[in-house]
Amino acid sequence: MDQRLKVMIVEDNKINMKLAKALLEIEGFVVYPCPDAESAQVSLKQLHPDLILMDIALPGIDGLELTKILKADKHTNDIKIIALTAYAMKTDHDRVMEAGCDGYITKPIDTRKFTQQIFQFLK
Amino acid sequence: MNEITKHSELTFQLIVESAPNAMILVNKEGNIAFVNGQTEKLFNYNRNELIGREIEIIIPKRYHQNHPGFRNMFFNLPQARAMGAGRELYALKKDGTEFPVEIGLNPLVTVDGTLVLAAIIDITERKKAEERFRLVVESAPNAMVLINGDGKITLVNSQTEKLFCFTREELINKEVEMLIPERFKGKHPGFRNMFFNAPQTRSMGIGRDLFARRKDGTEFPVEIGLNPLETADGPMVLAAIIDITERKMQETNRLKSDFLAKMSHELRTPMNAIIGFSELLIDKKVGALNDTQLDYLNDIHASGSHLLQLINDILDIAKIEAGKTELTISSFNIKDAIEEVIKVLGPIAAKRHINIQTDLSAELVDIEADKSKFKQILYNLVSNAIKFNGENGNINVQTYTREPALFVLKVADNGIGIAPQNLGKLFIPFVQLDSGTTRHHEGTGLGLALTKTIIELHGGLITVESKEGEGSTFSVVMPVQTKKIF
Repeated sequence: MDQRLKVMIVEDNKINMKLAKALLEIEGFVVYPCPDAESAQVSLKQLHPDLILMDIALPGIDGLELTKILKADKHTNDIKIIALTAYAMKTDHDRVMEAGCDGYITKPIDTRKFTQQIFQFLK
Repeated sequence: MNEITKHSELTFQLIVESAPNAMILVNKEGNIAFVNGQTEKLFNYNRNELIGREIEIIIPKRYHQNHPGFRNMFFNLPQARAMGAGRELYALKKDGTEFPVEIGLNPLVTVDGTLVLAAIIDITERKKAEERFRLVVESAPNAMVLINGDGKITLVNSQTEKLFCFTREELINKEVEMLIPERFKGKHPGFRNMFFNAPQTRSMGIGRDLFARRKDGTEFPVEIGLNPLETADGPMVLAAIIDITERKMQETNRLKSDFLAKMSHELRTPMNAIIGFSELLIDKKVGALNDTQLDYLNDIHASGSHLLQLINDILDIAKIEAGKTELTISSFNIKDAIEEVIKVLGPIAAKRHINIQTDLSAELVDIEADKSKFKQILYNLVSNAIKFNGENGNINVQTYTREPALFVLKVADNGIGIAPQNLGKLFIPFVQLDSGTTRHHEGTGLGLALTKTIIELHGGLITVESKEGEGSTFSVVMPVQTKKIF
């Protein structure tokens, strides 16, 4: 069985998706990219990643709403959810943690610490 | 007296008797000829105590002297009218108490000559109600203005005086348009007439921005509630005026901070790719690069980081200005905070052989402030001192206490210094000093502006002394214990 860590990225911005995906794949993660909350929900019926990187501003269901849904579902509530967002104000941090996220990384990502941070959350 | 006269006299007496008001018949000489039952009730006299007596028996003494004159004037030109127009009238009960009245006068021509029939209404209750109304208006927390059908101001409260800087005397009986900015004055009488045609309680000018005008001509935004009132003097409108300057400002600030949050998000999103991908390439995560490629990529990365710093500084300043920044006050050891900052900046200074010394007061141990913001102040001042210093330069960080309950933080360098004409520009956003060396000392141009804003948020101030070619000293004075103002 594949022992590699699996990360789902929910991100509507194609370029930022590309960056996060590249950073994780270089470190040997398996990445499941999803452009929106709805496709993430469909994928999660088949897949069970170790961690989800969640953009907040998404078309349709937003990242915080999806977090609440996943954390309320016993099939998905063990998946770590880390907000990955350009909302970087203090009130945004509070908002994210209130919705049930396990962590918060702001954009721009510090690529030199990024995978380290992900490993920390998975410990 | 014949039957007919007798009959009509009886009819007259019956009519007067059944009137709902006190009615008194007085002759030319000022003697009471007849009173009805209501008069007895109102004045507490029996009618035989009144009939034949002088009318002055029911008039307060202070009016006695003038009353016969007024009476003669009436008999000289007898016509139905209200007595004492514009004056307040009082009557006197048997027990000596006075009460306010309204009196209607009707000449009555009889066989015994012309008499006057006075109908007297006790207006004590109405006066009380008026007084209550006046008190309510007076004690209202808003400016209240009562306006009559002609658009004249008939009553104002003290809040109105305060708000508009007019005295009561300057307002009463004047056109309400004096409180309206010139550009709206023309249309106002039309609006006013529309209100009186269909009077109902409502807000004024729904959907429009309303402004009022002070005595000195300055304007301020207002919200106005209109209440129609039926009064003894005809229909009036009571306007409650609220100064919404503060609210407007808060609204503007809210819009501003919403905009900032949005802008921050929109700017950070592309920065993520610029900084992230350039870092990925520089770190050779995706393959080798030649020196020129690496050089250019470093330039992209440095510019990206600079832009990000700029975005952060702008947002910090804007947030403070929008009143959105909350200080997280805690008690911490000032020496620890200073050492933490020097630990970060020390290696950068060391690279250029700049020495950072500290001279910290033993008296000053713990201070109450926002620790991360305090470190930001120090970081900005020390990194400027490094930036504008030469090889082998010196930087001195000093603290000492100052009465009452203040402390001073000094950051001194022996660098290039600042020309006297530039000292005033230091704290203005984006104004970098026009020395030829500007490109040498690149910053966001916001560091000192932000530093000053943060210090002021703590209730402190910053000053600078400098001599060109000899160095600069920045002095921060702050309370040892910052109060939570926000």
